[in-house]
Amino acid sequence: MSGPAEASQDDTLMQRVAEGDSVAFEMLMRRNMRRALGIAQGVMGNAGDADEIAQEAFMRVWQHARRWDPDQAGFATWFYRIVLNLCLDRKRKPQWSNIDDMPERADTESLLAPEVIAQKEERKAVALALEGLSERHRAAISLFYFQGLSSKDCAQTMNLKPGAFGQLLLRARQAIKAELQKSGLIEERTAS
Amino acid sequence: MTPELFQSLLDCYGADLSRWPDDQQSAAGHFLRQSPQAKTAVDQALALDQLILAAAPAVSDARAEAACRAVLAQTRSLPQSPAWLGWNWAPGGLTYAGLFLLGGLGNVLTRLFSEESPIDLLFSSNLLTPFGG
Repeated sequence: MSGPAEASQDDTLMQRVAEGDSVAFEMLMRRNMRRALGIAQGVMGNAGDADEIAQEAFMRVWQHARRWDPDQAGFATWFYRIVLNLCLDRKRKPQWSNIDDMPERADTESLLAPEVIAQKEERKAVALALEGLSERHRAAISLFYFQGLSSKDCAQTMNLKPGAFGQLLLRARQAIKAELQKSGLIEERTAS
Repeated sequence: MTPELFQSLLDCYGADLSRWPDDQQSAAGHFLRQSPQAKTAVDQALALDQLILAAAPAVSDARAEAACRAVLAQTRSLPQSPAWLGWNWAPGGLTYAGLFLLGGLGNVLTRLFSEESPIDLLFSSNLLTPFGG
């Protein structure tokens, strides 16, 4: 998850939330909202659904705070599970619109127009590859790559054994690679 | 570490060895320093890593703030659920409820196939509990 100190602070805040402390809830939410939005958007593929899911997740944190058991899981694991479950519960096909939501690279202004176009095309191809994945595969990519969680934390969040998470990530990565090879973005000989 | 294991870990976790499982990092680093082929494979994996990372969703401060405000507006009037409303009790509770219903059903079926009349079933004192007691 985040660093041990940050995780400990989150756990302390969560304990106060469970006692009905609304100030602690606000602090906890401000510390974790960006990540909740990022995880949800990584799985759902669009900002609208991600916003709804992140907000719903925090409503549940407030409402069901007393269900959190620190002996079973830290706040981060418990909370990311809520976010992921809300994503996976949404059965409708995600409406991918993340090309416009994607960050422009910092050096974009210094690039020549053809390079900007090429960069956008690359991201569009990756977005299409992600769209072809199942929600669980996108969840693995979202947690491990987009949020930078360790494989151990990802496995815990997804309620999987580390080996099973590794297999999920491997299949997701292979599927993306195959799509990008089809679109010519990476060469066939690219090993991984 | 064998070349096959190195490649399979690379295929799974990407080019950044610090993100591989803790118990593999040291051996993988040693293998990488020894093998030019491993270096080439890591460079190729890095290209894919960078493409994936470039697709990470952007979340602006303003958007996160707006989402926080939306939640706060709704939680002001939202009470917290008591802990006992959690679902930890559900498996045990459902088991007991199922046994209770099975007992009742068994009692009714026994009576239906016995020689007692339906009116006895309705007024029989042994239907006061599902187990006939």
